[in-house]
Amino acid sequence: MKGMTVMSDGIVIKNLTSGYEDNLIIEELNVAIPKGKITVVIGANGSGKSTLLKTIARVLKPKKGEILLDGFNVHQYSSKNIAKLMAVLPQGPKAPSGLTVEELVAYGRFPHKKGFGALDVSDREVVEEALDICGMKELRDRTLANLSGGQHQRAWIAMTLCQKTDFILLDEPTTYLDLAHQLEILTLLAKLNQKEARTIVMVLHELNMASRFADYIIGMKEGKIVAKGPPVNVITSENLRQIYQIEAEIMIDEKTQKPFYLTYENISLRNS
Amino acid sequence: MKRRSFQVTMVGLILLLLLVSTLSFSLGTLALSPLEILKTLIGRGTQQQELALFVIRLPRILIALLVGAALAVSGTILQSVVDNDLAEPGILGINSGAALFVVIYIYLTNGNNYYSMPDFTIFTMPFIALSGGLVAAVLIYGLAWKQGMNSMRLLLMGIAVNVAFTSLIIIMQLRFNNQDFNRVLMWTSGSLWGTSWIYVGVAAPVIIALIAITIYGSRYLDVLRMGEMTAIGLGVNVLKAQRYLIFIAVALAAVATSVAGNISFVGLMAPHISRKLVGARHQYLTVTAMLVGMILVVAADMIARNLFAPIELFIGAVISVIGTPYFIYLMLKQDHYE
Amino acid sequence: MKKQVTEVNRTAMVLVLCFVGLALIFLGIILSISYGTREVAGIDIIQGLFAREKMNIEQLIIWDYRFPRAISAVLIGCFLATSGAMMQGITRNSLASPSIMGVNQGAVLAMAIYMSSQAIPATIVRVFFAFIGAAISAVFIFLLSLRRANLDITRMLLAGSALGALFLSLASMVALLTGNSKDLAFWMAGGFGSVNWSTVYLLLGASIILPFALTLSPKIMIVSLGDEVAIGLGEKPNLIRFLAFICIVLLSGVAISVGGNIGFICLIVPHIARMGVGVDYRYVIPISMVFGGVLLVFSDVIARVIGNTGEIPVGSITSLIGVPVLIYLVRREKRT
Repeated sequence: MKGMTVMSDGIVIKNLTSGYEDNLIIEELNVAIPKGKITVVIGANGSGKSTLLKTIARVLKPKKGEILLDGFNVHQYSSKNIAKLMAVLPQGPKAPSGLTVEELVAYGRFPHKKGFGALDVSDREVVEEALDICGMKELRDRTLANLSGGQHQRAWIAMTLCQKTDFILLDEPTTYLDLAHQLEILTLLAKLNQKEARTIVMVLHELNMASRFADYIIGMKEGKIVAKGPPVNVITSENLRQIYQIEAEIMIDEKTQKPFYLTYENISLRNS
Repeated sequence: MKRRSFQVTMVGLILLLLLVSTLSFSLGTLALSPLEILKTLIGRGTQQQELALFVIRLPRILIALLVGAALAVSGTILQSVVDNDLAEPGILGINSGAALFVVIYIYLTNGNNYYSMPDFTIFTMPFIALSGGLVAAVLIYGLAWKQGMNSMRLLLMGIAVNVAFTSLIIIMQLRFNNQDFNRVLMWTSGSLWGTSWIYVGVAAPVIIALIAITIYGSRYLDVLRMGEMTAIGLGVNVLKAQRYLIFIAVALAAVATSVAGNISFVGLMAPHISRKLVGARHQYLTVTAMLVGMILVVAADMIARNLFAPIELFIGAVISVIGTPYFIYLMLKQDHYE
Repeated sequence: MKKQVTEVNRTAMVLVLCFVGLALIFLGIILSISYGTREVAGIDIIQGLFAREKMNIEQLIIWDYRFPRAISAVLIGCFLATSGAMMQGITRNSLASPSIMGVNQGAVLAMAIYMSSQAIPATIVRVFFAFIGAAISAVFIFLLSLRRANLDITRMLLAGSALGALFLSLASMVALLTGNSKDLAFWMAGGFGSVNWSTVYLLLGASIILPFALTLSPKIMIVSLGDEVAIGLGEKPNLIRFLAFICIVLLSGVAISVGGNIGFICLIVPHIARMGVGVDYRYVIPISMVFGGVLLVFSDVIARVIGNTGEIPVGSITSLIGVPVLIYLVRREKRT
């Protein structure tokens, strides 16, 4: 690995076994997610990447093993306290209709409030800032239903930003977006990472985007990690063969100095 | 929804409620004009008027208000927790569960004589009703759980359990003697006939307290409505919050059922209408639903009492006549977004 | 060669089952007749069946009361189960049944309206009323459950139960308004309290529909394989559905008009039949016919045994048996 030191105060996953009642998707998984970087989890459908993210996000309870955030077991924090450290954006997030952008973003302050949850001056400042960074200030009074795909996701990201957490988890944030909006979102996340020092962990299925924006990639197959490291180490013909069952050509993009894949062939169909 | 429009809507609903209540006060075997009502209230009415107002109509309308509020808020909570606009305590069988336990209780403590119930029985009824409602809720939830919760399955299980409990209630009902039969029918069809101040005293503190708690927890309902993952991400212990809220919803429905029998559809229509009026934020929604529920029940009771006077219809049936088409309309609309 | 053998085996099995069913019906009738507040000895039964003139009280009870009751139970059970089986065949869904879908309740409401306006129900006219009620209800539900030209089962169940509940509460209101709510309630909950020989003749007359249903059953089987398949085989699925619909409504209507709202037989029996003989409706329908009778006659005995002096309506018993079955079926459905 090229000059990559895994820091101990990111998210450390030890011997994790997780899944659903009769279907354990990941077993005895060990990996460390570096702090302050953008980590992307890739893999085919059913490889366990969503399961992993959901277990870290505390939606699923691990059957075995533990997840450490800044050195403490994630499941031992109270719900409220963990929400001050880690924000989560699910795939296709939904909100009650009629909610405006500003109201949605304000929900990011939820873990910090008590009782009726009325927002005070400092809360309002945080909301303003979040709207600003995500470029949603002009759209603050629009209802969510009246936004474009990109604007919609930006609003949700603004909400997670408002939570003021060190870590932000996103489950396929670009899946329902077209190309322009995909770029918009990932660029925003990159900005959050660089300017606001947030650790971003996300599941992406678009490989070239993952390569371009990630500092660290985790490649999964059938519940196991088969590759991890910076993009240039992970996006290789051999890994892609293993993870996606495709034969692909890898080149280095001149502009970004990151690897990307070109024209591929489906191996499993070859012999039929 | 801006604060201003919310306030306007509030005023409008309160006025409507006052109107309907006054109408309800005045109609009946002894007609009372608004002026006569006021006179009687300050103690200057005839003895007959005082009887009609203070002994019969006032407690009855108060119960109608309490029951309407309770069922509406219960429905609001359930719809948000279950994340399905078709959920409500009547359809889900919670009301029948409560009613069944109460009917059995009355039968065991009083034989098949409805009228000689001592006050003690009445005071303990809400608790019995609550246990019945909880049993129903646990049953339905457990049956609907199949590697996770599916709100449609929950609804269907609710309907099945509802049928079972209603059949049991019918079996119990047929054991009561003939004179009491109509009175006992209230458990399946809902009726406010014969309510007295005791019932008000029993129901009011519980219902008011529970609604206050619900309003206090409005933001939890908001967050739960955003889906499990987002709610967890925002720091809500979803399982705990769901259980707590379902308990409140069941308690509200059970107490309402214990004094008025099974009234379905209020918990369905009130939140839905309110959502159209003030939007989905529970801070506004809960209070609005409460008012809408009150208006619905008072109006329905007025119709039930007076439409075919002197025969009194069952308020549950009256509400079903509007409620069922509304339910079907909602169901048809729901699929449009899938 | 092998296929032919299993085909013969299956037909043989079905025939055997039918005989078993008929034997059970016979047993059920005997049980039904012998149980009651006055015990009747075996000899009395036989004598009661044959020599009317020489009858004493016990024998009269059998002849005028229990025998018609037993036969009605068998026939009504048969009708209900058949209509359920046919409905499940044409909708291709194991949860479809006239009782869950509000069809039976429509008949109940129509009957309640009719009964409240007449002192003694004239049998033919009341059946007609019930038929109209059932038909209107069925059309309603059918239209509501269509979703992009497919029959959506969840919609059907939700709309059906809602409408069913509405019709029942309207029926109670009617009963209330006309002042005989307890009696009407009893009838509505399902029971054989009011049967006599004329109702039996009515039921026997209506059983002409059964052979028609039997001839329709191979067609229903083809429809249950899918519309494209049916058309490919030269059948007209919508015509078959329409004919089946008529049968269903007639059978349910007659059954309800005599026995009140007896639910779930139309759901449970076809399901059990399918467990026994598979999904071929050529077999499911006849088996349902026979075992519908079995189930209801025994349910009636149970209802009378448990009820002691106060009668428990048969409809409540069948509901209580039926609900667990319904729950099991819903949990099994992949789409819910």
